[in-house]
Amino acid sequence: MAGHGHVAHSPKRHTGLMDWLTTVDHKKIGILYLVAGGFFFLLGGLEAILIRIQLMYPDSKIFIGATFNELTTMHGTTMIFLAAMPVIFALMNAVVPLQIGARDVAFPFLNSLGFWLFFMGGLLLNTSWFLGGAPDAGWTAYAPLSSAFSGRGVDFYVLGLQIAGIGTWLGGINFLVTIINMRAPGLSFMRLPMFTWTAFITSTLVLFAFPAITVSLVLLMFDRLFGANFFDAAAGGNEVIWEHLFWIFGHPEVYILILPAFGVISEVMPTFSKKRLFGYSAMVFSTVLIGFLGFMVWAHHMFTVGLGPVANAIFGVATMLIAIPTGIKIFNWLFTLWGGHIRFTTAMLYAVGFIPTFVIGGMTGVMLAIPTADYQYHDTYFVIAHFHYVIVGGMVLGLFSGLYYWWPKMFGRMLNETLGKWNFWTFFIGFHLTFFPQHFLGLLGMPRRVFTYQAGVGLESMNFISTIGAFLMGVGFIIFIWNVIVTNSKKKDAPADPWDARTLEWTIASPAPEYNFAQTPLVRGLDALWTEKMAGNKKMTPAEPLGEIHMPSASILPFLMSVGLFIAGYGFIYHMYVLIGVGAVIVVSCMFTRSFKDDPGWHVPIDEVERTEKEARA
Amino acid sequence: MTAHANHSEENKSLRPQEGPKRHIITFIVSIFLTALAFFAVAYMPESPFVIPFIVLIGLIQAGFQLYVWMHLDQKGHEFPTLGIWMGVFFVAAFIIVFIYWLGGY
Repeated sequence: MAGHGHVAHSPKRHTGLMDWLTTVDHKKIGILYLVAGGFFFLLGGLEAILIRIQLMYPDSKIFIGATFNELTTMHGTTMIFLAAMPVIFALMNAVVPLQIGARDVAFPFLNSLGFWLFFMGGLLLNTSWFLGGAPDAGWTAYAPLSSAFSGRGVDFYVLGLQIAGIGTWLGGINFLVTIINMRAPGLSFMRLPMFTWTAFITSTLVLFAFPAITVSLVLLMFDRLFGANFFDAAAGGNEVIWEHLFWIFGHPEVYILILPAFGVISEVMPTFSKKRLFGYSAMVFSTVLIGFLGFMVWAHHMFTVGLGPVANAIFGVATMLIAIPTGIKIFNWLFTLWGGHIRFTTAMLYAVGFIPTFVIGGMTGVMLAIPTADYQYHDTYFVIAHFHYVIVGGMVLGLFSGLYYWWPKMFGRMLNETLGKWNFWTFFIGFHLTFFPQHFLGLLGMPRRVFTYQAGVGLESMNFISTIGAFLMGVGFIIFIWNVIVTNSKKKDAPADPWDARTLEWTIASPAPEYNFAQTPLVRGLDALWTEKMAGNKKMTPAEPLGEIHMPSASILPFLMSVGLFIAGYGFIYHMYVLIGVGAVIVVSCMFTRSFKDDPGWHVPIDEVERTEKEARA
Repeated sequence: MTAHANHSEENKSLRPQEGPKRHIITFIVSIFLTALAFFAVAYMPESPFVIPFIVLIGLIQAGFQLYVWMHLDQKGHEFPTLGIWMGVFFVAAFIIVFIYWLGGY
């Protein structure tokens, strides 16, 4: 395909800011996702610290009432939609095409569009702080509180998440197509690296789960902005439908979050144990099973709604079933460690710290899956402790592990290991200090989302410890930022394979050249690079001759389109039809340009490929 | 980007008897089914079976559309097929739960 039919027009290469706005390169989009996700993580973390400051002592009056509601709502919404999702997409963008031996994702333009939509949606949501107050109906935005009893903030929630959600959905489709169609020769599904497998299943979950949140946000938008009655029981509506639709999305969402972390752990453990992953096929099977079961358990968030004993029993048992594939994974990781030649790098520390922490979160999950017991736990700090153990103790530790592991491949520099260990221990100890006492606060009856508690009922000391822990987590994250700054000021000297690793991304230079693989590699076994290492080969066998490489053109259209939707979003929120029109015109004219302007891409000439490869080896 | 398009495989998937015949047959049957729907409404407007009947023939036509006109029955469509049927399964589960346990009444 490459090199035939088209005349290679001279590559139009942007620099500076314009390069970042127009890039369709998956590696750069991965960095954009990481920076944006890191920024929102900082915001969400700040909100968390403010919540903990208010709860440090009983009867505090620092952030009360609506302000506290805004803080909890924005903490949850920001962390889930604007911090966790993009950092996952950052790793998927940075790693998946390299792990499957591809030169980019299947739809590079769509990839860029996905990022900018997410970013503009997140920005729209966060501008609410300056425009009359953030959303305050909880991150779950239950109707009718959100539909009839909340201020303009919830409009920002609806429009911001809708725009960001389109972006996430596009990203999911893109990775599905990429993994199905663009694997290197010899890379069958049962040879896929585990991270790519989890990215694949996560993308499937995105594909099926996000339409549910889209629908529920549309219903809420119509109720709020156009006077519809979907959630108005007096007019024949039903507010429980929001809970169903939200959790049909929301439960798969937590597996969307945790599965890539599982994938990271499954890459890091074999590398730093110098053993192949124990039970690879069982790992694949359990990932698929978790993804499937994730859709069948949503009503366990609604045990106290009054669905009745039959529904509660079915969903309770279905939920407990998920412990089985998860248990398979935990044991497989332990057996991977068993007898391995273990190196405790920071990435490995995070991976090892992940296991006991996640097991605690899983255990409380099974406790919550018992409907009768859930009546006691529901809406208490026990639930808060549970989901922070799985999301922070599971996903965030996994993502940190992945960042330390793939940082050299993304940026060409190794993160400092000493600072990394400080980062791990402060964050890890801070995490347990924050959330372990919250289990007992919950069992003592402290309700979530309430801005204060009384003195003298036994809640003071554990809340105080929890706040200290939150500060320590903050310190841990600042050490990480410091580590990034320190690392960034050094020269790019990371070797292609700094960890003696096993998969394809380590066969090419760090950071990867623009075209990734000068020649598509031939994969001859599970852990493609390790297979060659064991066969005594210095490099991969190429599957094609060296030729000029066809590349997609950079484009500003995704950015402009997202700006269009951003403007239209304000139009909807403020009922300013002119703005809606302006936004729509921008979006449609960008789509028109994209559809009718032929774009053959451009080619990297052979001599440039050879020069780049020679420089990388030098 | 890379040349992954596998032309020989595509050619193999075209069956020898593949021609306009199946398309013509399903087209005629579809028109016939549409006509039946109109007749059902015209002559039995009070019958409780009209709506289920129309839904049923609608499903048949959707099947024709997917499998004949959109080539879902041909080789290389395993993932779209899996995706569609998985989606149907999930939505069926949602509908069953909504019917029996929507709650809030």
